[in-house]
Amino acid sequence: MTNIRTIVIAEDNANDAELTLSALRANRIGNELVLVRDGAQALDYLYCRGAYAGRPDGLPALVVLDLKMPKVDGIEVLRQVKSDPALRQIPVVILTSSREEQDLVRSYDLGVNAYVVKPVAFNEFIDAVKLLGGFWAVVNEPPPARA
Amino acid sequence: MKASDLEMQAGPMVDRVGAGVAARAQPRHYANPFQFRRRWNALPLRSKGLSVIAIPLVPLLVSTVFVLIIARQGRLAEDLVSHTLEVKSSVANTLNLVIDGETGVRGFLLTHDPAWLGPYERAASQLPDAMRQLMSLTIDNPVQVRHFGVVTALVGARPLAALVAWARSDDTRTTPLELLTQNRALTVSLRQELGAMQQEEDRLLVERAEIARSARVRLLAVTIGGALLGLLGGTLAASAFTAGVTLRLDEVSRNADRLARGEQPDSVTAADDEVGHLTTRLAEAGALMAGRVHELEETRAELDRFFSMSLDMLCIADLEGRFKRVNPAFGVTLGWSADELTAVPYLNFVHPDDREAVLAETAKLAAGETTLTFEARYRCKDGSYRWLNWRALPLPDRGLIYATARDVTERKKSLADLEVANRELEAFSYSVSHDLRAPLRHITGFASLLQRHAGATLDSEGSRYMTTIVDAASRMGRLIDDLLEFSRMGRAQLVKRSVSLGDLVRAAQQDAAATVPGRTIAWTIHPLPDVEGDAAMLRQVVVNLVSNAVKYTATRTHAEIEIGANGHAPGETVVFVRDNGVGFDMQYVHKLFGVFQRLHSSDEFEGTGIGLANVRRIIHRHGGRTWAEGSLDAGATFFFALPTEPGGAA
Repeated sequence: MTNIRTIVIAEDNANDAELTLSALRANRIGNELVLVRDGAQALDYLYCRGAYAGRPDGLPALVVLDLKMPKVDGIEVLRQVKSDPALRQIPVVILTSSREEQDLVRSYDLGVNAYVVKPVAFNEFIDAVKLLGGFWAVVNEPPPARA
Repeated sequence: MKASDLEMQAGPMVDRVGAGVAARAQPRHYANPFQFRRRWNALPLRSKGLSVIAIPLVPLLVSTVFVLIIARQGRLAEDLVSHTLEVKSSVANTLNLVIDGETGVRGFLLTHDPAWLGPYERAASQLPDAMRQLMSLTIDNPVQVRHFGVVTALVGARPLAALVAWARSDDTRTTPLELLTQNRALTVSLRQELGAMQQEEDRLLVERAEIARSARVRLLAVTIGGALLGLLGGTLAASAFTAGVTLRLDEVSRNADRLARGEQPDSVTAADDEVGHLTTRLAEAGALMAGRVHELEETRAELDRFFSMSLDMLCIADLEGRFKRVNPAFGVTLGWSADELTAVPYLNFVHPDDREAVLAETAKLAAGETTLTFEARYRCKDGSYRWLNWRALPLPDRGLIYATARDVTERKKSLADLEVANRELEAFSYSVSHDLRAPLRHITGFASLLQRHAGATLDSEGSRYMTTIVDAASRMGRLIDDLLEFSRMGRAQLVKRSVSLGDLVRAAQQDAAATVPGRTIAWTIHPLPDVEGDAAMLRQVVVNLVSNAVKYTATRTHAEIEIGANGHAPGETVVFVRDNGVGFDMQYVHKLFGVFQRLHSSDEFEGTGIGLANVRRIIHRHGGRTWAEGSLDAGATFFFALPTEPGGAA
């Protein structure tokens, strides 16, 4: 197990996932990128269950959530993460195409760490994701790991 | 008041003026008993009273006068009778004295006894007095005066003194036969005359006694006649009084009673006296009352018609929670009859979940508050529930509530449908925001990646295509973003507070100027007031208008933009943004504020056609209005007006 923690990206849309991954890789972030396709998989990963039952221990450095996903949506994942004392310290960033007021309000109410609207222009998108990954994975000092 | 006037008053629909004229033109006749009675009725009460007293009194007075006259006649007759008796006594006295004198003289002649001379002398001395008395008693009767004259002559002629003297002379030789004979003849004549006088008096006595008797009879007759006439007069007067006053007063009294009970007075005979006046006034009062009652009934019938035909439910309820009166609309809407609705407390009809609210509203009404709008569900006879919107006015003094209700079930259903539609629209917007932008992002993203990946192998034409794809996708992304923003502005909650328009304009001016560093723009910004509104939305308005001004003056080497407020209109703050740009043709002014409406091609001036639509939507949501003035190639001025007092539509 490496001491560089993972970044979990929950994104159901393959194109978006590829663009996001591409943007993060373009930023040369050293963290392992874990892509899950829905909220249920994200929770499986976080709780080390289902397909991720045997994954190495440790909490991810960052969880990037799309809002609109099959099975369990981003808001529900956020709610569970932030209401679980074991997980609530993980930084969670919402990366979505929704600028809807209600989504913003609910996300912040649930304690989201950042809310980023995906720009349409690719360059801006690249910049946004770079900034995001760079900040949370590199600049930001994560909470101390628990025993 | 004439009789015809009274009839006119009693009949409700007679033209008063015409009737009055007819009454004045009508001549008065009292030819028949009815007319006489009318005349009697027309007499004032005082005159009637006097008449009633006079009618029995007059015969009594007349008979009294007659009695007095007749009594006097009787008394006179009686006086005359006693006078006659006196005369008779005086005649008798005179005759006695004559006889006494003669007897005395004769005795003396025979006896020469002087004792006989006593009566003679007494008679001789008394006779003159007796004669005088007789004369005075009979001086009024020519017949007796004549007799008396004869008697006087006879008395004077008697030779009594000579005979006495002869006797005293004691002359016995001769007997005075002559004297005696003369004396005897005189005495016979005297007796005859005195007897005639007695007879005359007897005749008078009979005559006068008859007069006295007939006077007594007449007296009796007159007394009885007077009494009878008085009695008859009294009866007549009493009946006249009864007919003319008492009976009519009874009528008036009965009519007054009828009036007091609210009924119409009976029509009665009119007259000019006080009773007639009362009757007339009562009839007028009755007519007036009837008129008022008629008017009231008309008004009531009118209100009842409205009450019955109203589509809205109308009711009167008491503060104890019962309907007292309901109109037919209740039956139409809820299916309950009026009796069913008024039989039980109205809370029974209220949906169990709404009962608390209804009770609270009733309590407010009981406290005197007016209900302007209140909605609750009421049970229909078929078991369904309908929403009623109430408006109610309490009359706490009378313990009543006047209320109207309207069935708003359909409206509420429509509203609910509308809310569903709105939610669907929101879901759609959300979907657009999320799903439509994603493929665009993918187009631009992958086109960019392709450009980066195959950039070296593409010729210039291929590069241009790639750029066009990316640009077009970006442009569509902005369009969608603007459209979503526009939709968001329509739905987002207004948070009103005091906003400094000056600060907003200065910030917008700096931002706009910063985007066009190469250009020369002459800014004129007048002092601007603070307004009540949503700061974020108003910022959008100002930014849109200022950036438009900058955009459409791009072709001017000396651009001029002026921003100010000329809101002197009462209740409004009017703000304008003026530029000397390309302007617009006023015939298209109605298109300016429409969604996706553009007066210039995007080649000339880029833009999505959403900005001014958003301005209008925001200003409308603040209860304000927007408009624009301009002319082609001569600049444009955009105005928005905001209400200065709170109360704009949210």
